[in-house]
Amino acid sequence: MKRPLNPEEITEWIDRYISGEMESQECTHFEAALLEDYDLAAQMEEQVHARNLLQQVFQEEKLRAQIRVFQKQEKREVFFRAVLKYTAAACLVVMTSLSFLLTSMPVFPDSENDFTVIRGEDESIMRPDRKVVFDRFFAGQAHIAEGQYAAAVRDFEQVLEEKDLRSYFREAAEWHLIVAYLKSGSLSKANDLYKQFNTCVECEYEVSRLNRWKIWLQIQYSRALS
Amino acid sequence: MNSFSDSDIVQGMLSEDERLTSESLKHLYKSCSQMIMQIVCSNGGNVQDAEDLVQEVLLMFRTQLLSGKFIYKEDVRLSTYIYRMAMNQWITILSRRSADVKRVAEYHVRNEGMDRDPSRIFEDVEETNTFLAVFSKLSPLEQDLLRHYYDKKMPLEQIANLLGIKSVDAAKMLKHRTMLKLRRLIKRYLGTI
Repeated sequence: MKRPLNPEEITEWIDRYISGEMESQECTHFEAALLEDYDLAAQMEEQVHARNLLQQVFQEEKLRAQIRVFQKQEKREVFFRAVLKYTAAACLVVMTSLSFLLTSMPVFPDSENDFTVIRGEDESIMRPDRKVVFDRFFAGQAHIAEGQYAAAVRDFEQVLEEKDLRSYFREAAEWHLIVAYLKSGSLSKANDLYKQFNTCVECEYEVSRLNRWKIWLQIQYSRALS
Repeated sequence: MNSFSDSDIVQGMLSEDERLTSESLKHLYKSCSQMIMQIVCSNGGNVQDAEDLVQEVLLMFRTQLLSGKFIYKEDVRLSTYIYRMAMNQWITILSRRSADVKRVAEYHVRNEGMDRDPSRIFEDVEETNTFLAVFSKLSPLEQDLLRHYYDKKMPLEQIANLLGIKSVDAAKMLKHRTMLKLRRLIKRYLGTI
């Protein structure tokens, strides 16, 4: 059995021995050559050190890659947990807001004793029929507060039959009537009356955007349920 | 994930079964990573520093385990040991950083006006004492060739195609020269292993 002479082939020969790829006869031949040739033995030792280093390095690379995978997985988990948390919080806020908007009563400007409705009128010299209209308006407000919505509807419908009403007073009565219709179940009347305020450019009776939304939402929700 | 005790983790990491080693490493990571992150982020480091330190500490622990420097005892929790390792290593890194800053300043004062290649300012002797540092002194092509041949056990013909080497004989020659180069680097930086 001839030993290689070429340096590349010698390294290859040594590698095959280290890897256990030699058959037993060649193995014996190689081991004999190791004992005789100091240079070959030195090369063998260096190659073993180099192969050990490579094994350590590759193993470390693999483990490092595994740790990076764990780190990426953890970052993903943290991200999804955060998304879940914020989504849950957002849902809670939305649900709470919706619940508030759907269940709380709309609030009108100075709902109790809105003296602006009779602004400019001297009660002491007010005509009796005018006084009845104002009394009916306040009675309607009281009926809404007491939950007597059908009575409130009658009150405000009667108020609106009066022809000579200031815009402020008329609009106030109409808004109250919308709520009375809504609460008494006359949803299409409530919706129709509400719609006219969408195109109102110079409305005098200021109902805040929040309360407008509240009324609109409650109308649509009730219509969806009915 | 089933719970692993400290004893299970140690046995798993000493095991030759790659799947078991990986599973043990994962458990060790889960039990220690947050603690190490806190050490770094509470002491002048950022998230990237923390992630790097987690990798270093877990690998160092494994090396100590394999070399016998760390011997597992039931009355000491692994997390306590790793906490100490992480703290010591982070302090070392911080000291090195502040020393580097000082060295740069001193270098510039000493060599003002001299025409020197700034990339050769530092030769970090400590770094070359590790296997990885020695291996990193090979070129990327040389590293890839050895990785594909010795780790992935690919035949030279396939490696030649993959790495764009002209022929199998050229790949063989390159492998031989790379191994000679590695052996010289080992002698130079590590002496005898």
